Amino acid sequence: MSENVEPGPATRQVFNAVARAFPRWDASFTPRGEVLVRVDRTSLREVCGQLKDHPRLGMDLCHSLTAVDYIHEGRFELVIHLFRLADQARVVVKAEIPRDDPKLPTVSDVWPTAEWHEREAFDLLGIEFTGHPDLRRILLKDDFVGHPLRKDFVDDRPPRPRFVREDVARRREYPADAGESRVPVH
Amino acid sequence: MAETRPPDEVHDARPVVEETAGPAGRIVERPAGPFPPVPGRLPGPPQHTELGPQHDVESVEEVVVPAYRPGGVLLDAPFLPGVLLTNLKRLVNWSRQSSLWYLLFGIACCAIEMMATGASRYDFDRFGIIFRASPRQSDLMIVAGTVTEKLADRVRVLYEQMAEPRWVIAMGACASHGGPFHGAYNVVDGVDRIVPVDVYVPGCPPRPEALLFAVLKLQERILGAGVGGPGDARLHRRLQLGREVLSR
Repeated sequence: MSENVEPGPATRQVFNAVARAFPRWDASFTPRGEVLVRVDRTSLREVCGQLKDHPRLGMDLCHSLTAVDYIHEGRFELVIHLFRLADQARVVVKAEIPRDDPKLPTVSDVWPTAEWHEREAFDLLGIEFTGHPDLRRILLKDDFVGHPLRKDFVDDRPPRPRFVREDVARRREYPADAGESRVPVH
Repeated sequence: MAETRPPDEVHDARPVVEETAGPAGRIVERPAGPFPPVPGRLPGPPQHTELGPQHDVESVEEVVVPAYRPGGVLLDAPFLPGVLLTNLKRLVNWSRQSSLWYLLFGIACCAIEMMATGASRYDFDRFGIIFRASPRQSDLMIVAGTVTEKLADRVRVLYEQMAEPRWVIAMGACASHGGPFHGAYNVVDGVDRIVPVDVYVPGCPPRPEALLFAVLKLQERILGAGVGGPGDARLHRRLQLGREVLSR
């Protein structure tokens, strides 16, 4: 993102409402013109519930929920993108997770969309969402070992052998392949 | 051993072959090139006689027996204009290559090109190639797209459900060797790690012409080596089994 984007009026309204109603929150703006709320993972559920249900906030759409692996700092970072359908206000919620204890409370009861997103974050990054109703792998096979979007993931599975047909090895026995093709190649 | 069954007019009827017509049944190696002209008959359009249209041999060769290839074994029967003989292997191979029904199995963006090839502009149907929605009715599986590890078992199951003889075309870079996702954690590096592939089509995605070309190559392959040939999977499995039994 090379250029900063000025926040729109709806997003400014959200920022003012947060600053007035919850002055203890760590709220700022992202370079893309969204409200950025940094939370502790213990207060994640409370903040998300207020963002959803407070009459002056009412962020009713969860765009995405994912996580980032900052392996050199020993932490993951949860990123939730929120949206208000009425006036297109945007909020980003970020929470730090220590890498040696990747556990978070679920927000799938706040936004039901988050249920599959949390399954994806669990699948690819191994973050455990406590209280999730159905925390299984969603993209990879159930017997997959490891979490491939972790930066220290090593794929040590042996490669599958290739099928080489007997006739390909003995290609000369093909009379059809020896001659000209029926379709001219330009 | 008395003859008990009364003679059946229909089933006991045998074609009468004039013994004086020529050396019937003599198998010769036909040299490459066009057929020699039949004496007394000029090449050209069909000549109408009291027996119906009598085709010229050269023009009939293209129409009646397309399974014929230069240098093949033919029964030498120039004495019967309009009739050509071939052997069963070539006839079966020709009929197989002429009605390749493919499994409707689009996985990724290559499926768009496969749909375009099957639609009216490029028109798969003119080669007798029709999509089927069931592997039980399919001869050909066109793997059109990226095969993930989660999908690999399903691809194998679909292949096993197809009746033999069956063929596989790996369409596009992903199905051939993984393509831009080669080495990724959840992508199979080429569908030939799951099923044996007959024809690989390069491209990302390949144009419909390339897919048509691949199918024509597959048809040539079936013609050249189908029944009893190197591509006959069932026969080769039996041969392999026989070799294993003999080596014990």
